[in-house]
Amino acid sequence: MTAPLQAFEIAGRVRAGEIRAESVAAACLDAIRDRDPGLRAFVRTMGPEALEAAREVDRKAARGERLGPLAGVPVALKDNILLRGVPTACGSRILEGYVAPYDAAVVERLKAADAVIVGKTNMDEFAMGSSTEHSAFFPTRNPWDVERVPGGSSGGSAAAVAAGLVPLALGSDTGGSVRQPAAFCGVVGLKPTYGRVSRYGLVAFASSLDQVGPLARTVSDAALGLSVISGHDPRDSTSSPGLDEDLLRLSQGGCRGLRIGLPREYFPEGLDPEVSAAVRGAAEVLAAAGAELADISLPHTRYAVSAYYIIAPSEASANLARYDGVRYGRRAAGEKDLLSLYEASRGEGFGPEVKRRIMLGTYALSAGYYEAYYLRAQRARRFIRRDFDEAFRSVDLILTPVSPAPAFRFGEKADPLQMYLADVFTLPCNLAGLGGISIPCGVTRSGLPVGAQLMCRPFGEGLLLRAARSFEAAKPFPRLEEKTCG
Amino acid sequence: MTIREDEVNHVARLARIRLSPEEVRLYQDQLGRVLEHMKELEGLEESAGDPAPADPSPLREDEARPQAWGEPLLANAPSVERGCYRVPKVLAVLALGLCLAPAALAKKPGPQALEILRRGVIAYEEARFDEAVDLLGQAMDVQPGWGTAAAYRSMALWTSGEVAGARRDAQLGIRLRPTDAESYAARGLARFVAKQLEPAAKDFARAAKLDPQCAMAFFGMGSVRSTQQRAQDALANLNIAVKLSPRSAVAYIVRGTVQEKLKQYSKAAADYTKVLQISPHFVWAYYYRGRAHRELKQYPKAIEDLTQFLGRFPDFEDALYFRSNAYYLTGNFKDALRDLDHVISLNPKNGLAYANRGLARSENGDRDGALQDLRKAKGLVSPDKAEKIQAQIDGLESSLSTPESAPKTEITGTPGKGLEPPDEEVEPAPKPKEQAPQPPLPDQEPPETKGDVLFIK
Repeated sequence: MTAPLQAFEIAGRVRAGEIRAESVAAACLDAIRDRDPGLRAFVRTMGPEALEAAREVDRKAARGERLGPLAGVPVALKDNILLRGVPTACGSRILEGYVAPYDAAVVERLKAADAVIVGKTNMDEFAMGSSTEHSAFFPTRNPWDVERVPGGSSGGSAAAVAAGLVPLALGSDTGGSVRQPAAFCGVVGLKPTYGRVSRYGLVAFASSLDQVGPLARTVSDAALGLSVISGHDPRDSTSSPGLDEDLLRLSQGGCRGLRIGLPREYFPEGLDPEVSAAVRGAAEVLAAAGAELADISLPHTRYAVSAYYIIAPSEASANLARYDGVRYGRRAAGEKDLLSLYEASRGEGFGPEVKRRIMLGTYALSAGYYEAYYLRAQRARRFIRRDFDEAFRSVDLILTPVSPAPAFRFGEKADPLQMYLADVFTLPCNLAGLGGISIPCGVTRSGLPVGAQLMCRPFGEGLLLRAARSFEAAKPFPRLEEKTCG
Repeated sequence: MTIREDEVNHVARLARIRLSPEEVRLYQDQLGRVLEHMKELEGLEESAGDPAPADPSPLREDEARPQAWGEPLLANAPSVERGCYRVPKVLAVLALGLCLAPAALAKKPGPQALEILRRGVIAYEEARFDEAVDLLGQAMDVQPGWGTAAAYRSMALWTSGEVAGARRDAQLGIRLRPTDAESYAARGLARFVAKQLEPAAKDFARAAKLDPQCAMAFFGMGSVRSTQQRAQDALANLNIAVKLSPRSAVAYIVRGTVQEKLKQYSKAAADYTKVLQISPHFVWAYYYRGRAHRELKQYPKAIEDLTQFLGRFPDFEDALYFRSNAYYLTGNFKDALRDLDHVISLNPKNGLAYANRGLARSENGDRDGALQDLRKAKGLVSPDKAEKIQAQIDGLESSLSTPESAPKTEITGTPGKGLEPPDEEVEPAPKPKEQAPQPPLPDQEPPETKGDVLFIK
């Protein structure tokens, strides 16, 4: 099995007229048809539409028009990103039959860059979960070990990229949902700074935390994806104006002189020794490439899980109030009054994890508990953010594990609290609104990839990409093809 | 830690999620343990200092932007009816039959409703009144309680002579809260139907100010002024209305009636000709034009038009009467007599009809019949007319011995001033349409042309 083409290579060759976008799309769709049934990364493919979009790219090329930076690149979308005219279910029964009436901002940008959208990928219901086991449709399998989860909630996008079905996919990251599955599947996953990418057309989960981010097999492709989807959009009031930096140029330059901090709270006693070793090994690789390492402390890290699992469910309980069986999706049959219709439609339509989180958020916001939970969580969030502010005075980047352990087996984390606690290393980045990237930094003895996380100051993705790229150059990422062929 | 069953049930009710008893038990345990873990946040109490909150997100001004995808949004709903989301009753016990359209929808009609309304208004303008009533009713089905549609339908119903329905719709239309030229014009029409002439005029003025191209505003103002007998003002407004909306048959009709009031009969006839070009099936235009042709002494044309009209409404008294005039004035006494017989059978108290039949019978040599009719007529008309009729009777009686020298009635065609039968009601009476059709448009009877009588010398 040969390594699939990178997004960069595809776009370059299509632009140069060496390959046709249509044959790239056709090969991609063939690969999905042949190999996805064993993984179930996709909930839907758009074969005819993708081929037509690819032919349009070819026609543009034939007319001598300038092609976009993703010319002919097949891209998969997490199924919480709206693609006009195509069903969007967010892994939920409650959105049965919903057809997106418009394109998300990131989709507009992909289309404008001449990307070819080939399918929608599986996810934990409403992005709530860390394993894709909470998809209402089916679980997605980890291409490195089909007995194990791909991580989540963007598990479908991570598995599709890892298996070489697409070179680039988009996910969403509210508490680690791009970075953790990227780590579990051995690919690059980037969570942009809050405000860098418009969420217009992203189905809302927790609006103070959500971001859309790229998953790819190389840092260059992730950078390319990020550069296409970044930018101001007045339709998302949290979108930052004035971001027209050249991310691809900023990601050049190596990591010589960059100060990289290793927070001691991210290497606790119970951390999987292989994960710890792989991440510390990554630090050595970066140091060898010229970075300066520093031990730092982020003392309020221990509150991240509690703060996140109050704030995110509270926001979700409000955002998901819109699923009422009236305006879209599933409606319970035979209810005699409006309140019963709401309760029955939501009782039938939501899965257990979504109900759990809506209940948790409703509880935290309800009279008598608001001060004890919600206000305290907000206060903890401010402490966590201040930790980072202080740390970034002395370092440029922060290096941590992505997850305390590699991919787990299906059903292994049936207890919700245990699942939540495993998110401890990715949540602070969202709570503080930083940028973060997950890069593959090793493989365990049992053959599972391990991810390292780099975090940057708000809008410091240039540095993030520089360090990630020099790591990749020094220590090429483990490849699934090598594993399966070897 | 577990939380109590009633706490889980309370939260589930707040969250509008129906839980099974098993789920309640599960969440008692799971939420209990998660919340227990979160107690660790109490440890923050001892931390010194409180970091300042992050800068709030920048805000921008709200600005309304059109969204072109109303229909796909509705298409995603599990149940839709007439442009609204369909839901069960709010409270089963009270059995309230409310339309639970979200407030935005109730106020803002969808593209489907607007399209139907637009077609309804065009049908009204082109004098296709039944179709207009039908379409505007459909628009109100899609958008229940829609004041704009109700206002236009009130005008269309009024024009069709369905006064009770027109009044009902007008009441709905009057409650409209206008925001733009179109809605001001609509409320003006409703007020006009409800006889609130000056408030209607204000609405039309406002509509014209908001949108100087709003033909309906000028049409409405013209109708108000015409009803107020301010013919020149009416004319000025209607001239603008037809300029802005060259296919507005209703504007030509009202302008035609105003021209008749001003005795500009050839202009009136030209307006009615225009109406017939726009809406050939609108037979009332033949009636109006026939009336105008009679005034212009173009009797064959008058007969032709009135015959067209009577083909559709054979028992319309005024048309029969006018045609009888035209027959008489072209010397066709036989047909004049037939029409007058018909008029008298429809209205045995039409004194002018008896008077004219008396003259026609006299022309036909039926002196006894003529005298009988003229005597009958005398008792049915006003004293001054009775006097003139008596003169005719005297003339006939004096010529007893020499009937051939009976004075030839001089025909002038001049309308008999003050000889009208009792004023018709200003608004069409709600009679069955087919048997006694009422003239369209509330204000079209030319007040001085009605009761022509032939024998004025």
